[in-house]
Parts: sequence; C-alpha cells; structure tokens
Amino acid sequence: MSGPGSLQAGSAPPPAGRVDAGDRYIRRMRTRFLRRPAGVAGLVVVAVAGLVSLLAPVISPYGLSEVTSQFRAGPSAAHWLGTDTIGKDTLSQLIFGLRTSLSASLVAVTLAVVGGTAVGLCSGYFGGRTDQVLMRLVDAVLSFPGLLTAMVVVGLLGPSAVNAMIGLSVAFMPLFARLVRGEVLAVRGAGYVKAALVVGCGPGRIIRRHVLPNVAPALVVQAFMTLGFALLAEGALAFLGLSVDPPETSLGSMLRRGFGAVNATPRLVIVPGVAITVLTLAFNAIADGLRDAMGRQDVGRVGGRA
Amino acid sequence: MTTISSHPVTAAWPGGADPLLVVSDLRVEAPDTRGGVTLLEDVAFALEQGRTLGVVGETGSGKTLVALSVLGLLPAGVRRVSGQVRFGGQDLAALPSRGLRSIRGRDIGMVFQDPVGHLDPSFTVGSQLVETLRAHTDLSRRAARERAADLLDRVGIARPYERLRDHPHQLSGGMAQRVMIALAISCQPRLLIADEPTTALDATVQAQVLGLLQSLQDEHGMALLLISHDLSVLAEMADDVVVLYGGQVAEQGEVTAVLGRPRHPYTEALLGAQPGSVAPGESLVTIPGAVPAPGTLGDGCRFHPRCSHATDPCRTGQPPLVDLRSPDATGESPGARATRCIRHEELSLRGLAPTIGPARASGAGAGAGAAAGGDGEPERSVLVEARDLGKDYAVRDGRRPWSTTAVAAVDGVSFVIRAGETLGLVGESGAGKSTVGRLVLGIEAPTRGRVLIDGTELHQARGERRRELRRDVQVVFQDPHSSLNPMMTIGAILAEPLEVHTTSTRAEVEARVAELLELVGLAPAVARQLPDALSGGQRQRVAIARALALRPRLIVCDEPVSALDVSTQAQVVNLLVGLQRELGVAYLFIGHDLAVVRHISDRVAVMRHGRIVEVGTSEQVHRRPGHEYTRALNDAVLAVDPRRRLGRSTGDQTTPSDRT
Repeated sequence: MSGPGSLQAGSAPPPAGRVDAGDRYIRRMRTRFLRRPAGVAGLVVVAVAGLVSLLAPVISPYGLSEVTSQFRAGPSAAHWLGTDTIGKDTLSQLIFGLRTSLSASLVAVTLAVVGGTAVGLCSGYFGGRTDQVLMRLVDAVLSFPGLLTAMVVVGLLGPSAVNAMIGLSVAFMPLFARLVRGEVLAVRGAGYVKAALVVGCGPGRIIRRHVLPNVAPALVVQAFMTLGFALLAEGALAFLGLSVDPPETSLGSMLRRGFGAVNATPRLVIVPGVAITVLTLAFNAIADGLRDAMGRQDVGRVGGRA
Repeated sequence: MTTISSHPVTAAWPGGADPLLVVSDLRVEAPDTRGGVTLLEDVAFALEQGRTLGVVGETGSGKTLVALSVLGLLPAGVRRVSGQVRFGGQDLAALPSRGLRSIRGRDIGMVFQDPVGHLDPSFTVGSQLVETLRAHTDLSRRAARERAADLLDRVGIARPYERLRDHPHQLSGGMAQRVMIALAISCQPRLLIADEPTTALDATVQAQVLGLLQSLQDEHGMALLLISHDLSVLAEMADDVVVLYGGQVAEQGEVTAVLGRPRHPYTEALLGAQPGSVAPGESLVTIPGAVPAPGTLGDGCRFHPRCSHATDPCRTGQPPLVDLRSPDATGESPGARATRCIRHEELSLRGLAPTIGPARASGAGAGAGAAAGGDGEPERSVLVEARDLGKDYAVRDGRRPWSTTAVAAVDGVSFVIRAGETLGLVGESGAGKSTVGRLVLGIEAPTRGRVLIDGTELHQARGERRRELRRDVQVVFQDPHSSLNPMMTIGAILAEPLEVHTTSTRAEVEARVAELLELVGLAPAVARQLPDALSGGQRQRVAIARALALRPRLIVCDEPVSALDVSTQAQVVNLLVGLQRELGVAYLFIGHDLAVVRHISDRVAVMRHGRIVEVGTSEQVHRRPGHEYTRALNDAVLAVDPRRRLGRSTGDQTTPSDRT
C-alpha cells in the first residue's frame, strides 16, 4: 500500500470543494518525476534540443545552405565543429538537422499515437467483430519489420520528409493500437466503469472520463520510448536516402554524407551519431522516469521495435 | 478431538512438557529512512505437539509476519532484530540456510491463503507432489507417485490418480487448497502453518477444509499454527489464541478463556463485530478508525485511539504485557494468559454469552431487520419484480474451439423486492448471484424472462424514462480497489452522477458532494483525495455515497463487505442499515456469507446452480430452512464460540460446482 493512510496527508490543497478530475494526479506525478535524476536529465537534454531546433534560423551561425570556402576544416572559432566536405558549417548543419529529425519523430509518433489510440479504443471498447477485423489488420502490419514497413510506405509515396514521417507512423501505429486495446480491456472490466454505466454515463463520457485517463499513463510512456526509436529510424531512413532532399538536412542525412569521408574526417559521422545517441537515451530516460512516477511497474512493458 | 473443558487455564502449559515451537521476544523491523520501523514487537508464544494456536488480528496487525518469522522467510529488507524461534529445541535463527531449507517442507509445512497462486501453474499436481516428496525423502519416482496419490486420497480428493495429471488451474478453490494441504503434509511435518487457509473459500468448503485440517491433526498429532482475521475460524479450531494488534500481542491465552472472558477491549470489539453476535437489526459493535500503519505509532497503548474504554493513563507510556496466570501455575511457557490492557482489572468486558444455546431470542417472527420503520405500515409497494429470469453465456469448449455452447448462469429466477426492504441473495461462488445483480441493474440483458422496475424493463426503456430508471437503481461492488477510478478525486467521482443527470450549478454539485460524504461518515476534505489515499472501508463508503448520489430507490450491493476486515465490515453493514432507516432505500444484498446476509436482510433468497432454491424471512431461513442446501449453508456458518463447534464432515468435494 503506497501513500500515507491518513486523510490529513497531502500537500497544497486546491480550493475547497474543487472537484476537477486529474489535476491532483498530475501534480503528484510531477513531484515524483522530479525526484528522478535520470528522467530530469533526459528532460533537460530534450528541452535544450527542442529549443535549439525551434530557434534554428536565429541561433545557427551560418545559413542552412551557406557554403564557406573552407572544406573539411577542423574546429575553430569561426566553425566550432568544423566544416564538411563541401564547406558547410557542421554546427549549423547539426542545428538544422536536429530540427528536421526532432520534428519528423514528433510528427510520426503523434500520428502513430492518435491513429493507434483510435484503433485500440474501438477494438477494445466495442469488441466483437470490430475487434477481430482491426486486430487482424494490426497483425498484418506488425508481421513486417518496422523499418521495412516504413521503407515500403516511403517507396510508394516517394522520398520526402513528410512521407518519411507517414511511413514511420504507419510502422509504429500497431504498437499503440495493441497497447491501448489491452489497457482498454483491463479498464473496461474495472468496477468503476460498470458503476459509470449504472450511473447512466454514455460511451463518450465513459471513454473520455474513465477509459482514456487510465490508458494515458501507459500511452505516454510508450510514446516517449517510441520517440527514441523514431529518431533512430529516421536516421536509418535518411541514411538510405529515403528522407529529406538537399539542401534540407537531418541527422540521418548528415551521417550519410559524412560516411563518404569517414576515414578522412570521422568527425562528420561522430557529431550526428552522438546527437542521435544522446537524444535517444534522453527519450528513454524520460520514459523510465515517467513509468516510475506513475507508480505502475507494468506500464510500457510492450517492447519497442523499429 | 480433545474437549476444551479438560484444559482449564491453569493447566494450559503443564510444566515439564517441552513445547514443539517456542517463540520468545520476537521483534521484527523494516528499514526506513529514519531508522527501523517496528513491525512486530515482543511477540511470544508456545505451541505444543498436537495443539492448535490461532493468531488473529486485522489487516496490518502483523499476523503473516509471525508465520514468516517462524519459517525464516521474511521479505527482503525486513529482519528479525531480536528474539528466538525454537523449534524442537533448535534455534531456527542459528541454523544455516541449508539446514533451514531441510526443515521447511519436511518438519514444517505451510498452507497459504491463495492456493491456486501458490501452486506452479505450469506443472501438474502430481509432478509438484512428487518433486516435494523426492526432495525430502529417498523414495523412487514410482513410489513417490504412489505416495502422492495416497496423499490426495487422504485429503479427501476423489479419483486421486486422475487428479495427479491435472494442472492447478483445472482445480476449484477448495480442491486446490486440499492439494496445498497434501503438499504441506507430504513429509509428515510436526508443525503445519496455515495462513488464512479458508479465507478465499466458500462457507461450506471452508467447513470441509477446517474439518480436514483437524482430522489430519488428530491422526498425526502435528501442531497447527493457524492465522486468520476471522475470529470464528479460530473459535472453531484453536486451543489457544494470540490476539495481535499493531504488531504487539494484545491478549493471549486459552481460547475459551479469551473469548469467554476477554481481558482486552480489542478482543471484545472483535467479538462484537461478528455478524452473528447480535440480533438482526441491531447494530454491530464497530471499532472506529483503522489499524495504525507501522511507523505512525504514537505514545500510549496502541489501541487507545480506537478504544471505547480509554482513559488518560492509556494515552501515555507503553503498557506491558501482564501475565494473568494464577500464581499456582507451574508452566514455563511464555504468555499462557496475558493482556496488554492496563485497565483489565477494573473493566468487565463482554465476551461470549455465558450459556450455550440459542443466543438470539429476538423472535417476533418475520424479519426483525424490518425495524426499518415500516413495521406498522401496510404492505409496501413492489419496486422490483424479476419474472422467470434466465441468462445464458456462450462457453467455448477447449477441445472444439470453433463452436460454443450456451451455459445457463441463471435460470428461472423470480423474486420481488418491495420499497425500502432488503432482499438478501446468498449462495456460493458460481451460483449466479452477481449475474442476477447485473440483470437487475440493467447492464446486461436477460436471455429469458424480465426484470421490471416499477413495471418497466430497464434495459428496454428509452429516453427520459430510461434516465429516470437509471437514477432509481444503483450499485455498490465488492472490490473497493477497482470500484473507484484511480485518476479521479473522490469529489469528481461523487459529482459524476450529478453531472450526468442534473443541470445543477457547480456550487450545488459541490454542496451535494459534501452532503453525501457526511451521510456516509467521511470528512469533507476527502473530496480532494485520490482513491489510493483511502483505506478499503473508506473506499467502500465512497462507493456507497456514489450510489446514493441520485437518491435511488434500490441499491444492488454485490458482496459489498466481503473484501473487508471484520471490524470494517461491521462499520459498513451498520452504515447500510442506518441509511436504509434514514432514506428508505431498498437493497438487493448479494453475499456468500450467510451470517452477514441474514443480519442485514428482511428476506433471504438462497441460490444454487443458477436457481433460487428457497426464499424466506431471515428468521425462517435461519431457524427452519426448507431446503437441504440452505441447511448445509446454515451448518457451515461458524459460531464464534469454541463451545459450539461443528461436527464436521471432511468428505464430499465432488459437488458439481466444485470443478470449474
């Protein structure tokens, strides 16, 4: 049994009689999350990366397609991370690449969460035939390796940043559909859902007030895990030339371009590689911290695939 | 079985006999940021060969830790700080873990509450028994299998060779517990530790399992350490009892002495909370509050915040355990009769009724529980009418997964509930009680027959009429942990029915929420809590408040107290009775414990295998049961009185419902 047993416990009571759902739970979760150093570190890394990408045009020392006269120059005051084979400033490339990769991952995962939640909710809540059909579709998608699914989709739609995101979201969607369906089935059987039925709540209200909030913790944890995978997967797609076209850049396409001269200037591979690794670790740390903060050991047990 | 009267208090521990198990000065702590939190303190008892020692207390009193300390199986981090556990003259603490392992299973057997959870699901019953036997004896595989079958036969399992091939999930609860017992006694232990062995079982199965334990004890002369929250189980089985409270012994002694003349208010309160202890309609004695959490213990007697006899001296200092043995007793055993109450000499505490016989002389025919204020009124109007109700479920046959067969969970059930009355629905698990509840609630549609609420079928009503009927019929479920949405504050949970059904302003809703909390005896501040900050009893109060929010005319109570401690159970039962008196709401009270159902109900319907076998007033069903099954249920209710033990039969585990 967790938490203090007495009713006097708890801090900072909201205005008396306030009967809003959820906010108290979220406040407590935030407190618990902030006690976990790894999670907080992950959050800081992601926040910095997010800020940098948002402000990319402002803070990057050189423009996206600005070419200097120095080729493969080492780090210097003018080029903190040096320049690449065609004379572009690596730091600026990294900043713009971060922007592309992060937003691609974010969009892909958001699409996957929305789509997967819709499918999982329908499947779990309505059951029966609906469940059968939806789950067979999900199984069909899941039977291909995730990256292959993404490549097929990109291959069909043509290589572009947007299509790469769609491809990734298709690959990730089944994970969320499965997860949500399982959680919905568990929540559906709970006494409070039956009690809500007896009270006279309709399906809309039950899904909104009872099912979604209880599914959300697992979903959020899984979403952060998947963000990490998405970043990796975007790198892989870009490496294969299935993402942004030049002059646009992403962490993956930086890797690809740097790979050509990996022996002469390993720096050009190391910089984007380190960025991908650190961000992926940060996303995973956040996911772990959230899982612990939500106080459920079983959340997010579905392994990610990419 | 030896009769209790031959063991007067003073002869309980005759000098010279070396007890099999002696626990002395046991102190168990869990590490904490501020040092250690004491979980058990100053626990001492002795158990002789062939006798039964019962340990009783509410959830959180430390009962299970006592058993685990004896076995040396304390959970990680929890450690024994001081004290000895001497078994057969050996100090178990001094033994290396290897020696301890050989004693566990061979000399000490263990039976747990949840038998299915303690059997490995991936091995057959036979292989688990054979493995245990071969680990502790040098039997050959074939001989071990013979012996395993023999053991199953001994614990009353029919066709033992077939059962050896079963996996645990194929057994019913009662069967699984018999298998657990067979495992525990497989090496003829000298001591059997049973931790809540019958708590998860139906009443009739409980009586069988207790009878089995007793006959095995008589055969082998083994000692039994029986742990239970249920005083009636101990009254039935134990020779001596230890009453634990907050990790300390509150009182201990020989069973008739302790129950007959309790010397500690906690024992008195536990006795009074038993539903059979008062006439139906009368309030049960309750123990206000809850067991203190370890680490939150203040000064004074641990029980004083909940004690009705507490005075100022009780609030300071640490009361010692006072030896009550008369000076001429010669035994050396620790704590043969002792209490921790400093006022034990001045208080005259109420124990069991002094004479054996019908304890209840309430009489006056039908439903003494009808003290609900409706006595003088003419026949009350019919609120619910169930006509020939039937519900089939499609069951998939394991061997032919492509086809399903319809199995009737409920069949031909008819009853009437009048406004403001309580109809009890009693039966064992699988009898179809909860299905009837769901049909009345209208969250499932009947396959046959109809449920009329005020003349209308709920699940067919539409529009405004449906909303109206929805308000009229509400529910309280069994499991207080899953019946409240963990993400919503109590206030939001109670506001929901109001938001769905009325167009009240926010202020009105908040006022009503406060009113509801007060109605069920909770502080208004609870509205801001999340469910996991509340105890089981408090959650059940919230569930009742939610059911009351729409001012319903009927509440379906589906085993509302089965998951609660006896003291909390008494609080909730009293609350339900009081609310009925105040608000005139009718209950369909579903339960498996006949004593509780009888206590709260005006009329009782007995269900078996999906049918109602008997309906009558509480009194009739109790005194003059018409159906043999009702009689069996009645017989299985344990009197909380060691002088009225059952003449139990141990056999017959082959009722159709027993294989699920």
